[in-house]
Amino acid sequence: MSKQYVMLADTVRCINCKACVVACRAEWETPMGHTRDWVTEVELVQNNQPQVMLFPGRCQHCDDAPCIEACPSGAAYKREDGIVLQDNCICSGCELCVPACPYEARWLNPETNAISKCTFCQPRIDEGLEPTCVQTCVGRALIFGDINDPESEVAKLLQEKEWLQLVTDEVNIGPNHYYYTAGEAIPDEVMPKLNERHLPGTIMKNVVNPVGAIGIGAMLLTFLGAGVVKLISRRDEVNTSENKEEK
Amino acid sequence: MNEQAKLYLLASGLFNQPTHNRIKDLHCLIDELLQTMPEWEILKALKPHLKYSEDLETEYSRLFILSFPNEAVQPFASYWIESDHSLMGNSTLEVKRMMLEHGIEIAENTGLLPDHIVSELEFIAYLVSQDDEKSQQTQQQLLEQHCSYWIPLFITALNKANPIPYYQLSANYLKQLMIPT
Amino acid sequence: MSTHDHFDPSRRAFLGAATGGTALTIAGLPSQALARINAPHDHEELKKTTEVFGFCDMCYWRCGLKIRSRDGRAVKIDGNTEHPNNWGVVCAKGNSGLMVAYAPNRLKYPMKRVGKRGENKWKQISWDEALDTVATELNKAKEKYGPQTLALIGHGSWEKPYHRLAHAFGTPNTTSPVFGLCCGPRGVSNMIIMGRNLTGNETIDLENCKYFLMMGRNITESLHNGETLGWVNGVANGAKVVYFDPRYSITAAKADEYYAIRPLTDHAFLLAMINVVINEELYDKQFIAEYVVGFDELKERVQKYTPEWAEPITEVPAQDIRRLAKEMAAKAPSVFVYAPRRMTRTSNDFGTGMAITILNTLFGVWGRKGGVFTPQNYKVPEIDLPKFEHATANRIDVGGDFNYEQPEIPIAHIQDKDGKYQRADGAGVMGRWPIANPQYGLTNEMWKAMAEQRPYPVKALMTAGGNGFLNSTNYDIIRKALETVDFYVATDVIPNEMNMYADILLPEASYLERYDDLQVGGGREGYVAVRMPAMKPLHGTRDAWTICKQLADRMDLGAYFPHDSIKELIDDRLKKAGSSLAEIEKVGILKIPADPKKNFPLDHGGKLKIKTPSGSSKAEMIPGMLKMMGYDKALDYVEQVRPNEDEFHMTFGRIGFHTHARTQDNVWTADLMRENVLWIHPESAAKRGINEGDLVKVSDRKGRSGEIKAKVTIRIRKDTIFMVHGFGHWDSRMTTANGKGLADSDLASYEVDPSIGSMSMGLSLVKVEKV
Repeated sequence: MSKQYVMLADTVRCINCKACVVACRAEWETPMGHTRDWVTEVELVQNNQPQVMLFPGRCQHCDDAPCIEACPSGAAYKREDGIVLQDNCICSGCELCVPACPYEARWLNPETNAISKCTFCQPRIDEGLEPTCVQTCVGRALIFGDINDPESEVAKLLQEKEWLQLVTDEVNIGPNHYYYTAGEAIPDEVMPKLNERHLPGTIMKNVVNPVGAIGIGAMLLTFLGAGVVKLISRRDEVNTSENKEEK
Repeated sequence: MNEQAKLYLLASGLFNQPTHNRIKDLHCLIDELLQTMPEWEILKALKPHLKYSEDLETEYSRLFILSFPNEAVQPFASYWIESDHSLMGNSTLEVKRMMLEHGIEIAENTGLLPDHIVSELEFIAYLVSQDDEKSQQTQQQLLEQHCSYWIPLFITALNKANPIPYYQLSANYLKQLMIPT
Repeated sequence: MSTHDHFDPSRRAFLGAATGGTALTIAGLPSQALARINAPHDHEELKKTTEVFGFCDMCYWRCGLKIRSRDGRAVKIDGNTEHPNNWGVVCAKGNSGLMVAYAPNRLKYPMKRVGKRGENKWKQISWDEALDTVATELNKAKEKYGPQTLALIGHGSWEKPYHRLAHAFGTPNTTSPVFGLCCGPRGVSNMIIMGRNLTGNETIDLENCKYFLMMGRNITESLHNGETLGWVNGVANGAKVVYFDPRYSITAAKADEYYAIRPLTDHAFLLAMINVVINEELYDKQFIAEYVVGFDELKERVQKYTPEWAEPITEVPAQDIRRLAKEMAAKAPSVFVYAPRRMTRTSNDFGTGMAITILNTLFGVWGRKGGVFTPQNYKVPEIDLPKFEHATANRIDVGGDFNYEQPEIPIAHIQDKDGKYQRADGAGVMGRWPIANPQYGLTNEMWKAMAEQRPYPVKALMTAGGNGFLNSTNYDIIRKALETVDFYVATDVIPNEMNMYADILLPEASYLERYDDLQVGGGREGYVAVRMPAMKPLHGTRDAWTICKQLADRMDLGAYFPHDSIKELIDDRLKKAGSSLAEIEKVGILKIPADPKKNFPLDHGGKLKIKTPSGSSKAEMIPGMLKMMGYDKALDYVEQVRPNEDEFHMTFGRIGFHTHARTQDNVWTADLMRENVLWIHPESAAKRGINEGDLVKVSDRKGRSGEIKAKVTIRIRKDTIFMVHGFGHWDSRMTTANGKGLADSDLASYEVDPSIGSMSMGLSLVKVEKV
């Protein structure tokens, strides 16, 4: 059986120390102002008493990933082991996938002009290492592994405790990231939201036509106005620089 | 060494610590250049300011070492290029690699990084003084893809920091040398 | 997730070269994309790195590290899985260590002051000129006033060589803030009652503990990796957590029970606990009989401290106190009463500390599984050195930077036979602060000695790291001291408000760029660890040992630095211990395996070895030495200040991703929190018309004040405000932190604990108004 990687976050063990956030920044040299992972601190009031819940977040590597569907160039793809990846060589930086992700996990890296996101540290796990956030996690709240291996820690933990996913009636796309909250409900703040700019399945040929160069048939475009202008102007930029090259 | 190279060497010297000896050397260099390249009028203006003083050293430290808020005149390319303003960024390593390709390394006791303005200008001076094609290529790449980006930012910051005439003029000189109008 | 506006991509110079031709790839997109949509993708590969071992400098816990380097540059800091201080995990601060090395505004070259002190006008000078000046000025001061005129304040990467240099110079006046401004009261408490060191790297069997009574020990935010992980494991293993804090911290969120105890009254609660434990006979009778003296007197003394007495003082219900005592007793000895990390708060911290030690002792936690284990130490002999002629306080390095054990130095004043060189801060000095630890001294009192030039002239100051302003609370005294001394030399890696005053400023290599003397520590396993450079020192920086050696050579004290390099020193020490530098560099750490018989002697038929400072072989519930000196009144409760209706208790504390006052300028940690805010209860805020995010003015009774933004939250008591420590920097060299937030240290109180001289920082009462 092929591998199926998952991430578990035991929120009882998370202390919002943000070690995962900085380790990821260092490991993947993400530019300031952007991050591939984060911890959300939710302050609640219950019976006039304070309560704090902590949710480490990142790409959820969904089974039914809308970002892949949204990507016009085929740069977003899912590997056999379940990891959703972005091929930097193909990515045009069009940002169509950004609003498609209900977990806000994707962003344009201005240094590479390609989309960046959590890869479950694919280059590390391919070498047999743990993801860097897991390795550094002070409370050992993050646990990573192959759910199809019954001997793996994740497989055992998923059996032992009741784990939740960040899913709603509206957005349920098979995230491969699980959360343990000791029976507490997950607050709305961290639940995925359908982005209003995201229109799944809408084919907008006329929007893409002017660019002309991309195989439209292969694309299911997923966004409205503002983004298009950006896309086109970006392509124009590209064309200009291409012309420059030729000179 | 050709005259063009000397111009870069002068620029490098102007942004290095203004010690007694260095000022003396710069004086000689300017005199030489004034004879061979009289069209560089700014050198005439600079010359009378080439006098060692403690104030000059203090000004050098204030501008390029202490980095006051909103007036950071950081003399490192990496500072201006990297998103976190850190030194020793990828840009530093790229310059270091370029230098290595030409067999050049920063002398250990100078305390300078490869992308310090002094190192870069001296490197350009070296490249300019060579007449092989590879040196020309490197020079062009360094100037067009690297210096053209951060040197203007550096000059703007320097002018904003309200420097004494020595550095005002040095900034102008650097501008004339590096930024084609 | 993106938090800020994108920065201009055109900033990326060398775009092509830097990103492997991305720009060209975009240009070639259409055909390539079409061709590859269903084709296999290229996976990113992990870049090759080399690794060296080290230990961390981002806080004083000193976690073991493995540092990855590429192209002559450290690129990632990982944890050493073998190191008992962290077992491989590294916090956000530790991960941000890279930005200490790469900070554009770190101290780069030796500088000489040319303006007024503190004016920040400098001139770059050569190392030779800098070191010559320091040696000349220190010798000048010595000639005029004697060697004791030098004060050394250390709080740096690895202070040991500086202490050695100062002791060789002949001064006893070496101090670190760890005692007087931080952990002192609980260090002394455990020492004087149990003869045990229980601070620094605490020796608590966290994983097996079944009940944590946490007195403001905010272990999740004032975090040390190994300690925090051990505690999280303990909680996961089923330990109950009862947490006391006027503020609902992250630790409160993890607790089974939370009490918003009235500020400064922990001692009253603890005395009531002792009262119940004794009167209801909940203590470990066998342990008390075998290992404790003074029980009956203690019983008598705590009779008045009933839960009913404590309830109105602490606002903890009496029935809860009774219940907690019983619950704990049921789980004893696998229980622990957890003191706060920094215990300089009330006007009787020493009493609070002793109550905690007593309660732990009544539950018989010492040498027991789930309680406090007995550490093992890796024996690494010191190098052979000439005698220290005048100063006897030779720094002991077991336990990293902390150790309150003083095997060679009984608590007595430090002076020579003529009585000349007693410590200027009075630590360990009869008639002044006899029970304060003379190895670390009272940094607060040392500042006072310099400001007032009493009891004798202290005319020369050397600081190795640290920030006297923000780690203390009385800015006027600090400023006066810095302006009064004849000569001040500072060494550090980063700029700050204190070293801004230096006459000569020496730039240290960061901990990623240098070797240092060995880290010798004690846990369940004894260990010795090495710090190796992951890259060459940047700019003109030098490591601490080299700086000290080069100074020593110039002052004819070279005999105290007999090696040619720090590597030789390490090798010399390790060879005496049967190893070598080459050997330890392969593994980073050498260990003696954990031994349950030694760690938990009482669970294995063994005995507990006790030796208190007064010479007792049993734990002293009423320490004899205290009685003799008349300090035993500290055992009794002292009424604490109460705010008027319009005032608040001023509290401050830590967050998990900033260390003290030294990471606010680090671009990575600053990105997680740029400025602190004032926590205020919604009702208190409403009374003053304060809304979330409003700018408010905080002023204390001494007339000090400052402005800060409000965070309106029910996570704090109505009579208390809170802010995260370490913000409010004003050194213009600190380009990221300058002017961000408010300095709690300029509002905290500066009274001293009357028994041991440590600072009482929590007594300030403040008013808050909307600006």
